[in-house]
Amino acid sequence: MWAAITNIIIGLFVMIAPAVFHFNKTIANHYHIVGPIVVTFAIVSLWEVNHSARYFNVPAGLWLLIAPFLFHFQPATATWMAVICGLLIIVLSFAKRKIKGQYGGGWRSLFQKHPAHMQ
Amino acid sequence: MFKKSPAYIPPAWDYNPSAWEQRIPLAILASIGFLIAVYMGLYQMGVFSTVWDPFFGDGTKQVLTSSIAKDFPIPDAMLGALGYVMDVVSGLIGKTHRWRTMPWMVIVFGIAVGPLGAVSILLVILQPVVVGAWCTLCLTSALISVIMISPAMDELLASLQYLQRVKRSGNPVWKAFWGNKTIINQVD
Repeated sequence: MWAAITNIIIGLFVMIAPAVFHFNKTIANHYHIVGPIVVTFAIVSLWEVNHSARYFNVPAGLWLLIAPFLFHFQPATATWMAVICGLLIIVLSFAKRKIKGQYGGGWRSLFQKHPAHMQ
Repeated sequence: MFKKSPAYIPPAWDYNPSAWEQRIPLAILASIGFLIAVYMGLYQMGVFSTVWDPFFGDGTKQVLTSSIAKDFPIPDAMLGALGYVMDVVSGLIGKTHRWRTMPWMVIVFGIAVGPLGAVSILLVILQPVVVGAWCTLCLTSALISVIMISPAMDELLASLQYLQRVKRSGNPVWKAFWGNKTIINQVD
């Protein structure tokens, strides 16, 4: 839960950072595209039934991690800010929490031979 | 007001995802989204000459009169309003065990909520990237759409699991999809 909430805050920060630190348009686009995606999947993963949705934020975080070097982000602030946010997003996306409900075995049950809802 | 029926809880679940206390809050959220979308749509149609935005100055105006907004045959906010109507209608139709009596309606509901949420996020991304402005009410509407996704998905999961049990029992999934009563009596 706290990990998802932290990712929501980081995602929001990523969305507003270009305006606060006056990044140029090309760099700002990366921030403006990844930010809303991170916020979305973090919110979706707040509910136990979709806790796994947090993994969708791993590629989003990875993008922030590598984009500064692929696209030569300037100034340096834009680079390290993306790298730090990307790293945090990835780490927090892996954070597990205790699931109390059963949900008939969850989404994976649909692909299982002996799903929980059939036992 | 809310009748509790333990028999309506799907196998290996702790609650009934089709219960009114699960569905009413979503209908209320979608109704708020609908009002916001209609307000923006009326502005796009020229009914109002100004549009409310407490944070981004004329950001809302720029977004709502952008080239993307004009690419649609009708104002794009009105399309959003239509989506919210679908959310409310498909969210409220059906009894409190519709996850097995009306799988098709639950799936329509899931389609209405899921892709609508995805389109909202796409529009959020397009605001700064293409238009270069933010819009308070658009962001609010997008937030509502995203919050609705997970609470709607649980019911979809219960319906899909029911159809999975129908398939394993050898009954026709297509009939169960439309709520065949004989199958409901045979399968949990």
